[in-house]
Amino acid sequence: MARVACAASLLLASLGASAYDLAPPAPIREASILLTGGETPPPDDAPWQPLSLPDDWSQSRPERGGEAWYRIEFDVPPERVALSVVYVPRLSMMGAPFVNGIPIGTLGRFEEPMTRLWYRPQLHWIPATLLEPGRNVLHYRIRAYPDNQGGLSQVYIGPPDPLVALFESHVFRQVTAMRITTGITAALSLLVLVAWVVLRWHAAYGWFGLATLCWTLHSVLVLTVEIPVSAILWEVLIVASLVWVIVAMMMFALRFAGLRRPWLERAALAFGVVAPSMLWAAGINRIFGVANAVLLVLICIGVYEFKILFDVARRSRSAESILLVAAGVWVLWLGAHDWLNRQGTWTYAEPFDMHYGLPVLFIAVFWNLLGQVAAARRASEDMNRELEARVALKTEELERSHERLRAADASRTLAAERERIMRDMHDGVGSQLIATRQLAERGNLAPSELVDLLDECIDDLRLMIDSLEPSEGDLLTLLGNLRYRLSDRLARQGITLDWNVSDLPRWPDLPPRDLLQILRIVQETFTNVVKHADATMVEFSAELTADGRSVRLSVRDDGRGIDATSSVRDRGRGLRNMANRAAAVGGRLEVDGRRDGCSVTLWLPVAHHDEGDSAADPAA
Amino acid sequence: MTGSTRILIVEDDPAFRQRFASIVASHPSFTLVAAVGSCAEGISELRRQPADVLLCDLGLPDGDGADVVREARRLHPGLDALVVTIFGDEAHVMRSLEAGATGYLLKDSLPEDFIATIRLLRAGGSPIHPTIARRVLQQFSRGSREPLGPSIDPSVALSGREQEVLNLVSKGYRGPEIANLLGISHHTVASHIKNIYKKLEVSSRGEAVYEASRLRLL
Repeated sequence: MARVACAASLLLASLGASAYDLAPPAPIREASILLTGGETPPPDDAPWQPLSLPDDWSQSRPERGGEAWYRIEFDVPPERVALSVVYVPRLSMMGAPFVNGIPIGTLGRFEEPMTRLWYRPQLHWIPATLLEPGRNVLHYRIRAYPDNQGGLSQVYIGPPDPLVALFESHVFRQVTAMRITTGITAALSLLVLVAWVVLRWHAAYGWFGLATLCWTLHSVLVLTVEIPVSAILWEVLIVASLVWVIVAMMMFALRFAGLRRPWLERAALAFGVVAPSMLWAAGINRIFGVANAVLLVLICIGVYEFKILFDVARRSRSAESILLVAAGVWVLWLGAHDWLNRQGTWTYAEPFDMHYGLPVLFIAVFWNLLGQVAAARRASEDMNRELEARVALKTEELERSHERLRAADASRTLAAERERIMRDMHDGVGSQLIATRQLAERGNLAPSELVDLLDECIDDLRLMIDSLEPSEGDLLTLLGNLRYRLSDRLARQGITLDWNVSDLPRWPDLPPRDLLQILRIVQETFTNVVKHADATMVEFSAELTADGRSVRLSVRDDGRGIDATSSVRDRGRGLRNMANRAAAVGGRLEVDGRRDGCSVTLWLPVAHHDEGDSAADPAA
Repeated sequence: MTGSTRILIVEDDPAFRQRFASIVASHPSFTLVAAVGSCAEGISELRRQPADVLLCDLGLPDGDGADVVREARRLHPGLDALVVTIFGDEAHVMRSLEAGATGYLLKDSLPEDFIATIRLLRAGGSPIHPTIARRVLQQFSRGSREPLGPSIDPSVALSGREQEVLNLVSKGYRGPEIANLLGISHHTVASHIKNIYKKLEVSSRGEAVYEASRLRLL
């Protein structure tokens, strides 16, 4: 049974053993035993009890611990005297060989903490000087703990070549293979735990990492020969680490399957604490009996874990999960084998094989986890792609709606501008033209008066065009334009113009409509000067006030003043109209009609000029 | 300057054409070369005989008056082109200035303004307006801000004095006042302005070449 199970190890071992093709000699099975201690072999006349090897204490003398001496007689042919070895496939716990009363290769201690040789095949070279042709005696001193499979396997004595090969193959199968799989498990454990901590993987991965870590620990404990602490602590640790392998694997399996079994988890965790405590309480003489029971519980838990993984595999039917189930079957098989082996089911030298099982299961689990991670990654990449596509779609929609808004905005601006121009034409040149036409129709209009009225129309039209220029709020330039147009007219009237402007702040948010109102006020003021003032000099000044909060535009002439003009009513209406225009742009008009001239001043606020359009239109 | 000033009129409106022709005819030192009503006629007249001054409307039935201005400047480099416009609105005037015009006239100008402007032109000056001055300033500052632009050529960049003149014009000051403020003669101011127009023409021609090469037309 176990031979089948260890096909892999034999294959590996055969690689190392193929150099030796000598058949090993037959093992020696006849021996006698003396249940006593002592540093040297008891004398031949002591009460030796004959027996047959292997002698498994758990079968032959259960619950017996302590020391014993074995006595084995063997014959050496003369040609073998020079070169013979002793090979013992298994002894437990500690043993030392003596040939003809002399110790050969006594390594380790019989005192506490006792050296642990139970897992290692023993090979000893017999010094040639000790052997005599013919009958020789091999003594084996053995010490073991009760119920700890103490005892001695059959013994091989003979030529080195076949026995060394046998020894090496057994060492490979039990020790070297365990070291290799333990190394693999340790690496896996490190990988999973680091990934779990650094990449913040799911808790299942943490439990899995703990299981692999505990198995690594367990293997190291089993393989250790010289222990630094008491035997009881070591044994507790060996079993406890195995308990935690199984408990952690159950926690993992439940999470892996997406199951929630809180009571079961609590029970398992409690078991993980209680079992080691019980082992500890049992003491070194009873611990192995308790450990047997604990291991039985572990096998039951293992079966349950297998059922969980099997259900997952049945649902998903993926290659990875089938691999997982196969590994589970393998582990259960080996677990049963090792437990039965512990109970003495097979020969005393039958090795334990779990180190071929769990690492395989771990790799299968890891393979599954990688598959899950890869699937999650693919899913998130798919999701990212989908998200990107959706973002692109949304962006396009946004751009389209922006485009629509812009278009709507542009057409609204256009409509507003059109309406403004219509209003301006209606208020200014339009009504003026109609009025002029009516006057001309009645025929009571002198040609010069007609020209004056038409000039006013043209002036207003020019102002409108000026106000449409993209002036970027450069009021001075527009005033300058006005001045260029007016200056010839003033000159013809014999009026000198003193132009006195300083830099004004830019007024980028000044709407064209307000600009037009300001220009109209200034133009009308000049027109009044030309028409009514009878002045010889007019001064225009534009400046920022000292507080920087408003602009002052002022037109001052040296004419007759307002009070002296003939048509006071007309002029009053004109001034009121100008004041209304000033109010419409948020400004203020001051008229000072003194006897020695007239001064019209317009104050305009500079900061936050935004009320222009909402103000009532005085000319409407 | 010797002899009388030969003037060609290109204006599609018969009434205005008649008015301009009679103003020119009324002045002893002006000679009317021809008064025609389309681009094609204007250009063929220019090819047939030289002229000192071109008076050209912008909106002609068979094309843009700016083209006539450009052709006139090419055929007769000494020619002064005046654009006649109703409103003197910025965009139209700038286009003709860039085509090589050295000033513009409002259509409703009085005969004496009309004559004064032509005489000013022949005397080496140029009429200008605040909005045009401002636009010219912007045009040149834009050119100097573009490192690969055509106006990097210092020969067509505005001098400091020219910029001062334009600045004052844009604030509404007139020639004599500017001369006063800057402590230079009226004639110097006028020739500054004429120079500015020439630079504008050159730089806009350079800009056209630049644009064309950018668009791989050249």
